[in-house]
Amino acid sequence: MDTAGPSNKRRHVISRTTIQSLNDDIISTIFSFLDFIHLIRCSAVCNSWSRVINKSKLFQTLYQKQRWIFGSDFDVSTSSEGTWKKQLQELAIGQHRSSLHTGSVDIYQWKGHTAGIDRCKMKMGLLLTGGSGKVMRLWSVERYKCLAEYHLPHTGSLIDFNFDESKVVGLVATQICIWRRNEKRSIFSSQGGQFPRGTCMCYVDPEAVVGCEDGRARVFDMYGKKWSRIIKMHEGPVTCLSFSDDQLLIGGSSYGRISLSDLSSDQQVAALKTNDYADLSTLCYNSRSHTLFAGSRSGRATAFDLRMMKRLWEVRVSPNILCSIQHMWDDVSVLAMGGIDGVLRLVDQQSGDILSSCIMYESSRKLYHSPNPHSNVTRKKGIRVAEDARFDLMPRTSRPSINSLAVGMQKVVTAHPDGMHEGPVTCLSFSDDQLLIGGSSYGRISLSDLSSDQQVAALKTNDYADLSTLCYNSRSHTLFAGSRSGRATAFDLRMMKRLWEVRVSPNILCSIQHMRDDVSVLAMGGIDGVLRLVDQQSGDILSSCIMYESSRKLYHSPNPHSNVTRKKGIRVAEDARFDLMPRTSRPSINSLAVGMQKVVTAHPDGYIRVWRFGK
Amino acid sequence: MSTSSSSSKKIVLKSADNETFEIDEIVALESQAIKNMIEDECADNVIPLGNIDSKTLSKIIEYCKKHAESPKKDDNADIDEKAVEDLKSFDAEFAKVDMPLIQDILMAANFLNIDNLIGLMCRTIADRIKGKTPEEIRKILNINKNDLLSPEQEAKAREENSWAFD
Repeated sequence: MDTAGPSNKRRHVISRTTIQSLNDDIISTIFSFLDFIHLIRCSAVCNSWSRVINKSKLFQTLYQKQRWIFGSDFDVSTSSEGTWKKQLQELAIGQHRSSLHTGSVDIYQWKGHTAGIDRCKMKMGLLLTGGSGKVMRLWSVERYKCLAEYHLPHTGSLIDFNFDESKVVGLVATQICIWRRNEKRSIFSSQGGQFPRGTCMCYVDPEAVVGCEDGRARVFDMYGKKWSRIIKMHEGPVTCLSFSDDQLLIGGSSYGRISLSDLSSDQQVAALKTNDYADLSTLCYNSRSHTLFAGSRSGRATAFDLRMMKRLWEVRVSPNILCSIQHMWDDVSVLAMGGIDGVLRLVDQQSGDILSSCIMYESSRKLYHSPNPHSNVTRKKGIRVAEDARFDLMPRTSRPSINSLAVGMQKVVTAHPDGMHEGPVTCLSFSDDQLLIGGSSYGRISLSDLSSDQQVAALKTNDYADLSTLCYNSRSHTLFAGSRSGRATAFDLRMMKRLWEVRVSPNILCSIQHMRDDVSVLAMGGIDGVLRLVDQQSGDILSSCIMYESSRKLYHSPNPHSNVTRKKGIRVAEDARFDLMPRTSRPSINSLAVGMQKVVTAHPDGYIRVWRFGK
Repeated sequence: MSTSSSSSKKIVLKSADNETFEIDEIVALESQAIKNMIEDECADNVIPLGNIDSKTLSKIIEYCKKHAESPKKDDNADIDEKAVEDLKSFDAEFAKVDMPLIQDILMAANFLNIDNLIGLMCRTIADRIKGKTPEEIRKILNINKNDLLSPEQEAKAREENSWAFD
C-alpha cells in the first residue's frame, strides 16, 4: 500500500467492485490475516489468488513463524518451493497429531437425520451422511449446514456410499446409483437383483466394487454402465472393502480373513489373517505407510504391512464391535476408532497403543449459536478418560454408539445410530397426518415428519421410565403411551399437551390398544397379567379382569383339530391385591388387540386368549 | 482533540454521482493521497473523486472523522486507554456492513491511501472467509467466473494439499 496513490495507473472501476479488481498488495494484506490452512484453501479459489499466494512470501513467512513454535531447524531460504511446502504440511500434520493426542476436546452435535446414520464420509470440509432414512445429506463441517440432499430410490435400503467433486455413488440394495453433486434425484441406477445382498461398496473411477454375502466382489463399470466382472474373494461373506494405491482390492470377511485381489486380472494375489476369529467390520489403508488397518466385531484392531505382507500389531481396543477406523489423509501417526461402546479412541499407527480415549462430558450441554440459524447445534465438552476406566459403568448418554467416523484436520466426525432420540427408539406409531411418532427411554417421545425427515415436536411423560408402547387414536387426536414402570399417559397431539397420566400397573405395560373409531375405552396389558379397561378421556380404570382359575372346562370348538378351553373371566376391584392372586389366573400379557366386544391377548408361553365380553 | 472546526479550513469532496461533501481539512488529511494533493498545491477547493460513489464516500468520511478526532499514537506517549477501546469498538461496528460495500470501501480506501481503513477492511474480509470452502469463498466474494481454475488445476491443487481441505 505504501506506493498506492491517486496517481496510480490502476483501472477506475465504478460499477461493482470485485475482489479481482484489487491489486496484489491489497490481496496479500487480506491473506496475511489467515493461517496456512486457509491460505492453501484460498489458493484454490481462483487463478489470480493462486498466482498471488504462490509468488508471495506468505508461506515462507508463515512457515518461519510455525517453525519457531515447533522448534525445527529447517532453513527456508535455502530450500525449494516443493520442499518447504512439504515441510509446512508436516507441521500441519504435527499440529493435528498433538491436538488429537492431548488437546482440548469440544463436541458440536446436531440431529442430521430423523433415522439413524449408518455411515459418513468426509472430504474437503464436506461430510456425506446416510442410513436408514430416505435421503443422504451433504454437510459443511465448518458450519454444520446441510448443503445438498440426495433422494434414494424406493427399491431398497442404502448400504454404502462415497462421493467426489462431481458425483455421489451409492449402493442401494443391489443397485448402484449415481447422483450429480448438485442434483437431488439420481441420474442413473443400475439394474438390481443380479446378485445376493451387497454388504459394502467402494469405487475408484471408472469402477465401483460391491462386496457380497456370497464371498464375491462384483465390479460395475460406471462409464459403460454395466456389471463387468466377478472376483471371488472369500468362502464367507465380504464384510468390508478397501483399495490399496496399486490397484489392489482388499476384502475383509469372517474369521478375520483378508483377501487381496488384482483388479485388472481378477486374481487373488495374497491372503492375510488376523489372530482373531471374529468377523472383520472395517478396513482402512494408509497409502503413505503402506499399512492396512482392520477392525473386528470382537473389538480388535490389527495392522499389516502390505509390502512385507506381515502383521505389525494386534490390539483389543474395545470390549465390543469396532465399527470404523480412519486416519487423516497423509497422517502416519494417529488412527481414530469408534464402535458400539461409544468411546472415541485415538491409537498410535505404529504400535497400536491407545493414546487417548474420549467421551462426552454429559452435563456440559449448552446451546451453540451456530452461523446457520436454522440448525440446532449444541456444544458439549469432551473429556479424555484413563483407558482402564470402567466405560461400562459410564452413562450411555456420554458415549452414544458410533456407527461411522471420519478424520479431518484436528477433528473427528462421528455418526450415530439414532438421529431421533439420544436413547434407543423403543416403540413407534403413525399419526393420521404422516407423522412418525417414536418413544424412547426417559419417557421421551419424538414426532417427525416422514416426508422431510425432520423432527417437528417432542413430548415427555412425567415418568422417567422407558416407553414400551404407543397407540394413536386418530379420531380424538390422542396419543397413548405405556411405560416400563406401568404408567399410561395421554397426549392431545393438536394441542401438544399432556391430558392425563396414571399408574395403572405395578409392572411393565406391554400393550395399549383400542377399537378403531372408539374414543371411550382402552385395553391395557402387561407383565402383571391383569387386563385393564381404561377410560380414554380421564385415565380412570373402568374394570380389571383376570381369569377364574377353577372354571376350566373343555370347549367344543367348531374346529375339531384345535384344542380350545373356555374359562370364566372375573372383574375384580382395582384395590384388590393382584400380587396375592395366583399367576395362573393372570398370565403375563405380551401383546393385545381389541375387536368388537372382545380383546385378544398373546402370552409368553404361546397361548392366545380371546376375551369375549357379553352384555 | 483537533482544533475547533469553525476556524479550520474546509475541503469539498465530490463523489462519482456528483454529490458534494464539505469536510474539515483535518479529516481529509487522514487520506494520504489528499494530503499529497494539498501539499503539492494541485488541489482546488473541490476534489472530484470520479470512482467513488456517495454511499461509499459517506462511510469513508464517517471513518476519517472518527479517527481524526481520536488522539494519535505519536501525539502523546501515554495515550488514553479508553480512547483506544472506543476506537476499537467504533471499527468493529463500522465493519458490520455487507460484502459488496466492504469491497467498495476497500477499493476507495486504497485509492485515497488510508492505511488504517485498508487494514480494517482486509481483516474483515479475512474473518469472513475463515473456515470456508473454496466454493463458499467464491460465493461470498462473488468471484468472477472467468478467473476460476480449470477442473484439472483445481483437482491438482486439492490433491497436493488434501490435508488442508479436510
